[in-house]
Amino acid sequence: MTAPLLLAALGTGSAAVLAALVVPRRGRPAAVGALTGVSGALGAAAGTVALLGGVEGPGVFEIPVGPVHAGMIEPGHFRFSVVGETILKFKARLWFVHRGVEKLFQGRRPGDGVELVERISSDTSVGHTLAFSQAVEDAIGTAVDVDTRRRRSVVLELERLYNHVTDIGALCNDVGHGVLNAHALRVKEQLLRVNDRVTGHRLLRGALSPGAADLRELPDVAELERIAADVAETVGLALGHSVVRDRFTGTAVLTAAQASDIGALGYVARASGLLVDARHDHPTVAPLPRLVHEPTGGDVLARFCVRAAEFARSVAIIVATVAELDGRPAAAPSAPTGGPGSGIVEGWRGSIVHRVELGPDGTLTRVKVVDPSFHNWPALPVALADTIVPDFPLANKSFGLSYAGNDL
Amino acid sequence: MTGLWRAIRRIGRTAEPAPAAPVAPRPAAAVELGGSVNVRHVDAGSCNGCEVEIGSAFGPVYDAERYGARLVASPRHADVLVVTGVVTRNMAEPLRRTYEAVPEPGLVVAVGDCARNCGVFAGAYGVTGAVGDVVPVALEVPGCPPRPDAIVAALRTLTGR
Repeated sequence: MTAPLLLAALGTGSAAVLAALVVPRRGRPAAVGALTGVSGALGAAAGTVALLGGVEGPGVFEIPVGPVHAGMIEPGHFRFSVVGETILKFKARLWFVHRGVEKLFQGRRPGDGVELVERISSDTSVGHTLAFSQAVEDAIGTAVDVDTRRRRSVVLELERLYNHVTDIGALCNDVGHGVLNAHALRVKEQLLRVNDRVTGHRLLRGALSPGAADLRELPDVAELERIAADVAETVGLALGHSVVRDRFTGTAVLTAAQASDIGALGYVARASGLLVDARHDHPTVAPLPRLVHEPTGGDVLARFCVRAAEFARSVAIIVATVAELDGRPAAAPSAPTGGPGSGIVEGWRGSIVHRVELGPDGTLTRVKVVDPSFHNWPALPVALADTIVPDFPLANKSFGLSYAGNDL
Repeated sequence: MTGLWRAIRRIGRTAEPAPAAPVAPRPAAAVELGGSVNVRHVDAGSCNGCEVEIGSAFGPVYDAERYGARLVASPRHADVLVVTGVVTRNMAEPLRRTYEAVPEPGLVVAVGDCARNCGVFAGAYGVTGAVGDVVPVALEVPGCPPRPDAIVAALRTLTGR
């Protein structure tokens, strides 16, 4: 069976076809040329193929990596099928950090679920807590006032700031520019201290809960504007460096069509030119105009530039929101909505969705959590086709996926 | 390039002055490591909060490396494992094998409340137990997540500097 035939058959999605595909792995080795054809087609067939076996043939070998990695990242096991340096196929085996979080919510009162929801993926404490809070408010049919929603918006953007600057530095580090990483980490520490002053916790915990957003103080906008200028300088130095730009450009491309087929979210989708942003599509405060950014080529450069642009944008959102909060009377709460209990929030990685079900006694009977990483993980193998193995850390970091949020 | 030099010159040194050395007693097994401890980090089921702060501890502000602690890429290069998170069922065996790959004396530091006593994840079906249930623990760092200065203090207890 030739590669296009295999993939055409795969399109039917029948279990029998899948089984037939797995079995011939040990059959006659295919020529390298044919394998390259498979790799090209893999890009088109998205994540389904990535679940199947490796690639075999002359010159093809497999590199197993993980679950304990060389860098300081979360556990996952990866298999690269490569010819020389070029990745033919990449498989990610996750679920090493599956704790069983969703089950642990059951039987708790919504307020007692907050400590858990803050720790689904702690770099997204605010995003998950906000989605959970909105879901609970939706389930019990209450609405929070507009100033509470504005305070929530401020901490949501603060979370985006420290994560974006950490990864901007890490991407520079992955191409060997350690000085810029040090500058980014210096800014990260400044932002974590801002978080500490605003909420009493460096990871912004303790501020949000169903019905509430309690901040100790509002962030100092002048300080954030200074930090934004600092980060813009670091980004400018990175993009002005020919080696950094060379390594970023054209690496691990995710086309708009692939991103759309997979249902990618967040900056990964926006870097490929898709317009998905829960802050516009499901706004809780007045939606701002969409961020227009360049480039949108779906490569590491595009994902880097989108996050740099979002950093400046998030500071602008905080500055505008803090000005609105300052001295203005709170608007009247909107009418209770009722209906199914779900919440959608644009966390820093992308849209987070929580759905809750409450029993007659007011306890949680079911909580379903979808982190954007769950949607973006299948995009990584697609983008890695024809990328070289040494660029994997760079490509992986440019996607910035959560293992804990995916594995739950 | 001149832009980078200007930035380096303008910003200068960002590492904060070293706080006083911790008073906690140094584990006997750590003494033979001299003043240098190579650290391998293992996420055994963490929510990635402790990773944020370990990153800060080794960042330019807290700069754990100036006390002789250094992150390394392989357990075979390491003197110490820094383990975060509860130990999930799926990470129990990888953690055991990583511990076995560390040369003697192979000290383990459990960082964060989950690593010490499962924290908020106690009772979850995917959780095997705390780090101490799987490998012997020499030192614990409480906190959820511990602040970077607490992580640095624990590492200084091991390096003795």
